[in-house]
This record gives sequence, C-alpha cells and structure tokens, in this order.
Amino acid sequence: MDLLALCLVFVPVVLFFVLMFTGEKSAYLITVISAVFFLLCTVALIVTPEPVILPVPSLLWRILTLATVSLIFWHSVRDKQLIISVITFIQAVILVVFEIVSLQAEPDNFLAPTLREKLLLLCGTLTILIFMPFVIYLLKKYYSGASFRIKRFGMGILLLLSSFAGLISSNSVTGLFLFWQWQYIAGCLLLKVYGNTYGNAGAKNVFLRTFPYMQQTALTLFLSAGIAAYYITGSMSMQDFRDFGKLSEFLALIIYVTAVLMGLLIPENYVYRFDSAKAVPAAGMYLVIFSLIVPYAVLAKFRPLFHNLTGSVISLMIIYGGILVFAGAYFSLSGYRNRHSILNLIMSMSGLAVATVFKKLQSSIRFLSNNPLPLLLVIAGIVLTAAYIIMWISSIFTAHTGHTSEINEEHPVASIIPFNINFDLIIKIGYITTAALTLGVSLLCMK
Amino acid sequence: MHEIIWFLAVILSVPAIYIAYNYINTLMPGQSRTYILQPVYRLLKLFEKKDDGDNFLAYFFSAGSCLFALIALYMTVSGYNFLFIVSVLSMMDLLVITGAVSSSEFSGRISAKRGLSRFVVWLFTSMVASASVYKIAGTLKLDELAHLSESSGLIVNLPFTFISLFVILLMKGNLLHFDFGLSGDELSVFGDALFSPYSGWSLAVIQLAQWTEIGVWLKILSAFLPVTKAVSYIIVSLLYLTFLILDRFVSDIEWKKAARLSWGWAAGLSIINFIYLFYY
Repeated sequence: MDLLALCLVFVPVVLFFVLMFTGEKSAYLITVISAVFFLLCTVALIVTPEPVILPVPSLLWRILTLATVSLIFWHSVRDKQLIISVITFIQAVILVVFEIVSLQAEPDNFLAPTLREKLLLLCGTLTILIFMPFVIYLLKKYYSGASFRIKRFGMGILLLLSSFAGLISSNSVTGLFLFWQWQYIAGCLLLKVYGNTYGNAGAKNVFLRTFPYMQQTALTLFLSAGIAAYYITGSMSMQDFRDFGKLSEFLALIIYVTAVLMGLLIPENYVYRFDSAKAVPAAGMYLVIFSLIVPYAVLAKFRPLFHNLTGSVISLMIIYGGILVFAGAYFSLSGYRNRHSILNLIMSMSGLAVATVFKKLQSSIRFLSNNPLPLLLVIAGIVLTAAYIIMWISSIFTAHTGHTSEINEEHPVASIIPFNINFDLIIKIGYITTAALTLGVSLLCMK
Repeated sequence: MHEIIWFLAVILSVPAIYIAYNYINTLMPGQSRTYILQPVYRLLKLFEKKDDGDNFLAYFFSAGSCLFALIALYMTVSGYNFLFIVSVLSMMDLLVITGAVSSSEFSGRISAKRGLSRFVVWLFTSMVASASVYKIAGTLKLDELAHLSESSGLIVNLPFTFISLFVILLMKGNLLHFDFGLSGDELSVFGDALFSPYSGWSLAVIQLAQWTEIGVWLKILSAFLPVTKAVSYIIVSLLYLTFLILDRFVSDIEWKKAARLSWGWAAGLSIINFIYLFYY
C-alpha cells in the first residue's frame, strides 16, 4: 500500500483523536497544520515516481469498517433515529457475515491513487486551503468562545480530509463504503457546528429530513452490490468490474445513485440546508470536495464497468448530469444576489463533471453522439452561468440610486428570457422522469 | 500579411456598408439629401465632443469592449476556433452591459437587461451552432471551415445553422423584428439604450466596437458559403445591406416580442439543425 496515501488517510484521523482533548486555540492550530500537512503529502505523492509500499493487513480495514458502522449505529440509537439504527444494523450484519464467510482478502492496492486521482487530490487540497481562512474568520467572528463548536469544526474538517483522501485513493468497494461513512460523520459534525443536525435539518422540508435515510440506504445497496460483484468477479477491486451480464445495468445504477446521493447531487434546494450566511464558505468547501471532485473520481473508477454497458442507461445518467448543470445555473441566476447562488453554481459544475465522466478517455464521442438533449442542457446551463456572471459583476458596479428595487422586482430569469415558463416545475419533472426512466431501463435489462 | 489585409478590409467594409445604406436612404422618396459620408462624419464629431466626465468607468468599459472586438476580428480573419471568437465577443458584451448597469441612469439599467437578454440568445445560438458545425466538419477553425465549404458545400448540411447565425447578425445590427430596442431610436421613454452612460469619445469608441463586431459576424458567416473567401464576404455584406434597407419598411416592435422572435428564429433554427444532424 502506498505509504503517502496511507499518511493522507491516517494522520488526520490521529489528529482527530488528539483534537478531542484540546482547547479552542489548539483546535485552530491543529486544523491548519493538518491542512498544510495534507498539501505537502499530496505534493510528495505527485512528485514521487515510485510509491513507497507498506504492507497493511486487510483485517485492519475490516475492523475499521465494522467499527465505523457500529459507531453510527450507537449514535443513531442514542439520538433516537430509528430508521438510521435499522439501516446501520443491517449494514453491520452484512459486513460481519460477508467478511467471515466469503471475503478472502482486500485488494493489495487498497489505497493506490493514479496520477489523475493525485491531481484531483491536489485540486481538493488547494480548495480547502483557499476556503479555510474564510471559514475560520467567520467562526472566530460568530462563535468565539464556543469551544464546543470549534472542536466539532476541527474534528469535522480532519475527518473530511481523511475521507476525501480515502475516497480518491481507494481501489476497493469496501474502501469506498468505509470512507463514505467517514464523510457522513464529517457532514454530521460540520452541520452541528452551524446549528443543524443531520436528522432534522430543515425540519419543514420532508425531503431534507429524509435525506440521511436515503444516503444510508444507498450505502447499504452499494455494499450489497459490491458483495454481488465479488461473487461474480472474485475481486473487490473496481478495475476488475467489467461485465456482470444482465446485472450490469442495475449494478451501474446503484453505483451511480450512491455517488449522486453521497455527493449531494440531488435537487438544488438541498443547498438551502446551509441556511445561515456564516455557513456558506464551509458549505462551499464541502460541496466542492464531495459534490464535485469525489463523485467525478468515484465514477471514473468504475469506467471499465460503465464502458461495457449498452448505452441507454449511460445516456440517461448523462441527461441527469445535464439537468443538474441547467438547474444549478438557473437557480444561481434566479438568486444572483442570494448567498446560496455560489453553492448552486458549484452544483452546476458538479453536473458537468457527472455528465462528462462517462466519455471515453481518448474521445468525446459518447458525450456528443448518443443524444442531443444533454448537450443542449449543458449549453443552456453554460449560457445561464455566463448571464449570472455578468449580472453578478454588474451588481458590483451598480451605483445605488433608489431605482434598484423597481428594476429588481422582476424575476431575473423572466426579465432576460421573456417567456412565461415555469422552469422550477420543468426541472423537477426532469429529475423525476430521468430517475424513473433510468430505474425502468435498468430493471428491463435484467429480464 | 494576408491577415492584416483582411483585418483592414473588414474594418473598412462595415462603414462602407453604412455609407451605402445612407446613400440609398437619401434616394428614397421624401428623404432629404445628406452628406454622403454622414455615418463616418457623425463618428468623427463624437470624437470631437467633450465627455460629460461623470462616469469614469464608462471610459474603461468602452475601451475594453473595443479592444475585445478588435481581438475577435483578428482571430476571425486568422481563422481561429469559432468558440474562442464567441468567448471574446462575450467579453465585449460583458463590458458594454456592465457599463450600462454602472451608470446611474434608470434607462441604462433597463436596457442592460435587454442587452443581457440578447446576449443569452446569441450565446446559446452560437454554442448550439458550433456543436452542429463540429458534428459535420469535425473542426471549429474558421479557415478549415472555409476550405470545407469551398470543397464540399458545408451549408448543404447546415442551412438552419447559417440562418440562425445570420439572425444573430440582424440582432447585433438592431434590424427588422430582432431589434431589442438598444440602438437609441426606440419610441419608448426608455429609448436611451445601452449607450446611455457613454458620451463623447467613449460613445465613439463603443460605436467602433459595434461596427467591428458586425464585421466579425459577416466574416464568420462568409466561411459557410461555397465560394472563395472574398466573394463570399461580398455576398454576405450585400445581404446585410439588403436587410438594412429592408428595415426601413418594417415597423418597430416591443423588445420582449423581439426577444421571443429571436429565440424562435435564432435558437430554434440552430436547435432544429442540431437535432436533424443527430438523427439523419
């Protein structure tokens, strides 16, 4: 196993436990040091041509996975979250049975990032370092003295770093499952810093309230799909996943849905969960890492499987990415003075990442030739993004004269696209139709 | 050297078109005779006028937009990638619109929204058109497209794309039913248009940028005709002149209607051609 990749995953975890016993100032210091260390390790990982191999017994990963699931189960029981408790209990049972009965060993290269993945790691690390000063500034401004929150923040960031490195570097399905669970915990910790909890965030919105359940269900399905794949191919490594016969489309759908749900790539109103302005930089950082970079990297890991599919399911997945590009850009433009507009723009870019991840490495034939709809959606999204940028820059130069409210009363999109079109409704129908069609096509392939 | 000759030719051709239009206009019944070089004369007078000096940013935006227009023209005559040229033209529009918004005038901001609406239409149309062109030709470089047009008649597969790009030219020239009411001759109280923050030499520079942009679109369109470059450019220019004259006989319409028609004719036709290429 690559020693540097191992450091990227485990050093933040060690610091996570150190941080539990420190004060507010130490929390800031440890967070910053770990981020800088993360950057240095990533750079070293890129410039080192030959990885330093350190053998790690696969038992360690099995214990860690089971311990993580058990921890979430224990917390859910304590927080009276019955559904999460049931789902994590099922996960624990699956893990115990599978690991005892079937699993011989994890792949040798459990953590071994490719050059492209190393570059994605570097992008993510730089993003974290760019966002970090703003996040810390707002924390100091609003939560100075609230050491409980600051420690939670530090712990959340450290686990975020660790899970990010793990998700990018992992070559095993169980590895992805483990690090997505760490991401889930990191998300819980960060939400608690800003006054929300995962279970009841946006209590009025049923969709937001049930979202953690959907995430854990997707992870359970993903774990089951990984086990099914192991029985067919005899390996847990994604590189060996090529053809599962009739099951291929359905397994691909489960992988895709997990990447979408864990990446928060769901209808855009999810970003409004980060309701407070002081949470926006932290939310932006979280979205760039887990909605943009990680889904792209994870889906790219499954390219051997995706390239062997018949095409119809892939086309629908690309259309979903296209809708996401359009929806993100549309909501950015419609709320261009809103603090969430930048988060919607990140969603839009994530959609582009999802739509383009399926293209063949040497050509863009699949993206361009299969279906005209995604390209039209992507173009519409890019155009709306350009309009958003113009409006946003213009608002910087606007001299306030009192006429502004008169002009701004009109909906920004309605004022530049003068049609009476309910884009909100179209976007929602687009999401639902595409999801239903993808599920239908996947199930039909199993006949 | 070849590029420089084309660059100068395009720059000079657009004022020549407007001079010709002005001359033909004076021959119309009921029109009084004007100086034959009136369009250029007006431009020179603007350069001589003193700026009101209230809006310093107007100088910056006008100079910036003219610079981007000239860069776009150079890229066009050098046969650069169509999408690069569209990006540079977008920067030009960005500066003009931002300049209009930055003014303290109500009409400037209103017209900036119209400008943004026009920007969205032409950008969307150009991008869809470029996707169609790429699908047929496998390249977006204008010089390669011109060669392909000459040898294999690219326009046969891209008739609607060509029309949609021509509609962009009409939108940019504020002609027919594609006039967004930005030229300052609209009858409504908000007729000051996109140029309201500009005056004096900054307005003249904006005018130059607009003419250069017209030249860019003429040159782009000329890459689609199956004749030599020079002949093709002359044909497209004459076509534009025809529509300039035709504009005199077409009534003005409300800008929102113009926007809807532009979506239909420009974006709609480019989408139809794009989808047609996918399935046939």
